[in-house]
Amino acid sequence: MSDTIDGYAEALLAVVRAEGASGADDEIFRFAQALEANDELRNTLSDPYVPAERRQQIVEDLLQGKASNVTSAAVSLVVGAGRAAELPAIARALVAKGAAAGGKHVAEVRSAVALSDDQKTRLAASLKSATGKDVEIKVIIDPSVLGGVVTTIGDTVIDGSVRSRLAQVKSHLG
Amino acid sequence: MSNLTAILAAEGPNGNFIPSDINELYWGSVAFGIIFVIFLWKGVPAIKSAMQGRTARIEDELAAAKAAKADAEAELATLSGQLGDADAEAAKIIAEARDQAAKLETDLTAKAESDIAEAKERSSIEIQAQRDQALSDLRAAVADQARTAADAVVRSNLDDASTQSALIDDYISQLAR
Repeated sequence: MSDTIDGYAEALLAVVRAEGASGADDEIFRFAQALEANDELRNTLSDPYVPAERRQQIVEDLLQGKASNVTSAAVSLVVGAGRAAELPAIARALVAKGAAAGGKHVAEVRSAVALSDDQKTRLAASLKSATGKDVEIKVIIDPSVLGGVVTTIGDTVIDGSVRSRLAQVKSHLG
Repeated sequence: MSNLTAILAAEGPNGNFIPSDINELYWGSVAFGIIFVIFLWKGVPAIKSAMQGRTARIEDELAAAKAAKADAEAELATLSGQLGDADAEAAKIIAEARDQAAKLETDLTAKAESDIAEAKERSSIEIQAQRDQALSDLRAAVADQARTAADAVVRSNLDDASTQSALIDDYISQLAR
């Protein structure tokens, strides 16, 4: 992790804590994931020829009514500083630091559909049972998973997706 | 001369052999002698010279003819030799041509047989390759159809929200084991 990304993550975490916006880190994380999945949005927000005010306005329009003001301001800050391309990494570092502060690890859970709170709770318990680590679940909606779940904790990947099973079947078929 | 005159004179002055006038005999003899001497002095050498010239010319001509004959014989011998050499050369060329023709025929036959064998081998390989390719294409097509079918079946089954939820629950359950 570069110092720049780490610095932005520390600063955003400090802002979130200062504002008492407990869910802001999750919102920033989800926006970063959406940005990572959308090439057009990423290119636009990363384009140095687009004025910073215009890029920030786009962010505020997108998050208007869907996220807290703290989230909107934090994302606008990063985008305005010309760091939109690094926002996914900054968001990962942010949630990792937030989780680490509570003695947890971040578990990125990719699923084709959203997980219910009950499923998140049971998944966290199962992951602790499997890995021995307390985890904070961050769900990423990824239609390419097709079904099931792919969990990433640090360098560990636990793939229970239909996509991987289908790939295995296809591989056997030649 | 005088003895002869005396003998002639002794035969009588009226005989047929000796003229009646001894002076006529005398001067006739003198004239004869002069003419004879002149003949011996001028005529004989001239005749002798002419005869010698003729003899020399004839000898020269004979020598030339002999030389020409010798040349002709030599030329004939040369021509005969050359003709013999030409015959031998022609026979040699014909023999070499036959050998080359035989060798060429052998080479062409061998090359043709080799080409035919190679063509057969190539055709066999190409046929086998085409057969393998066709089988491979068929297998790929079948596998592709199977993959597409499997993908379609799986995706259609995943449209149901309860199925998605069940898959997540199954994942969680397997982790807990």
